[in-house]
Amino acid sequence: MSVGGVMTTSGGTSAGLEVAYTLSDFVGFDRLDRKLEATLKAKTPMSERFFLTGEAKYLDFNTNFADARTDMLMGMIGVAYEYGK
Amino acid sequence: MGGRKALAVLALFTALPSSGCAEEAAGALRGALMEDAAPASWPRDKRARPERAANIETGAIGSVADKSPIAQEQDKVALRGRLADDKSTTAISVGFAAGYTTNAGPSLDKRDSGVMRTTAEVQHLIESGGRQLSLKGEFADRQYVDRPDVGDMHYAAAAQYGGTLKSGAQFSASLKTERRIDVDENVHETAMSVGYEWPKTVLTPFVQVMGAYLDYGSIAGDFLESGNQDDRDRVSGTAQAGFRYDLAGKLALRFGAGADIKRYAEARDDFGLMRDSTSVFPFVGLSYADDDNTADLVYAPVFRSYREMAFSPLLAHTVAARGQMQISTALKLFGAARMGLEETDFSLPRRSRSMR
Repeated sequence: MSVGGVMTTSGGTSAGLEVAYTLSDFVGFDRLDRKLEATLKAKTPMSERFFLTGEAKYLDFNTNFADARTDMLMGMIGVAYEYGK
Repeated sequence: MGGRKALAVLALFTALPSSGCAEEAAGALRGALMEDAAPASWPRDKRARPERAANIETGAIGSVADKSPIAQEQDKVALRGRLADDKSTTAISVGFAAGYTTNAGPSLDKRDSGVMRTTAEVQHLIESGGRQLSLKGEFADRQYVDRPDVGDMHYAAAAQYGGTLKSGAQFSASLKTERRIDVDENVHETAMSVGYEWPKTVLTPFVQVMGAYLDYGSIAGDFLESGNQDDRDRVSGTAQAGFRYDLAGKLALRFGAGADIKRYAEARDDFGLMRDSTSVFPFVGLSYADDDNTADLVYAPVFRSYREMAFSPLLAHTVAARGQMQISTALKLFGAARMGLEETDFSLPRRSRSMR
């Protein structure tokens, strides 16, 4: 189960959180996959057209098929230019 | 059936259209064929209304491919072009980001690395006589410092044309090609959709035809022994027709029926099995939309038969629900859940449930 939301301030800063969960049950085959993803994103204006961006993401994937499993944690910071606002 | 290759999907997925605010939710699915391209500055009543009648997606639109509502909200900033006198606008966005990940790719053979991402997006919109043309291009390149072999590139190009005829009928047509990569999927999808809804009456009929070609590539990192998915390449087509009945000003009921076919490029997969299938389905859905909030629910029991005699016909109960709520001017909440039937590389379909 999951929820998500986006918050935007009057100054143009926005932040969003999202969590997604996927369960895959193979028909007629003994295999069950699970994937959980959580993402946090933020963006704030530095000037009229330039923005500072940030993102953090977590992933967890596992399957009973061969007992495979992996996870990931990632963080990024960047800049963006936007024309056409 | 020794473990080979990755799973992943061609989803058979139903999504209910919003009645009044279809455009708000239309972009909720990455790979969706009717993405909302209208800038937020456009008056709502002037937006083209692509009718996403209760539909079954033909592309790989499993939950892994759902576009984040967060991205939608933030994209709106970039795409809020002002309409010039000629009723056209252009928006451009470019970005660069750098950081660190504990799992480059990501892949099953987990290795950490620095990561850099470059993105670019351009969109051009034209409106004339109640009709709207949208052209959009997206590009994203992600490279890992310590592991260049799992770097990936995503790109997409889309064109959408739609609007309202003098008779009051609504139409839409779209074409999109996209490459996307996830932990369990590497696919290039080219998809089209054409929809038509007759002028509004008590029971308003509509039809929609969708088609897609999916070309799968290998997955990095020896995913489940082998990342080869070439035998999943296929053509998928869906046609559906139904009626919309307005229960109240903000509440609409949709119902109808459709058919879906999947034809694989290779007659037999790596296991020597024929995977072509044909499905039929009725559908019924309910949608609510007001100025700030939307909610959709659709149910479609799908009966599928296979060319391969070893596969028994199956009945899958597919459900999709989606909603969003504007709590205040600053806060919007969203959620979605679905249970669908998807293609895999294990010859058998899988049932998938995703909550978002």
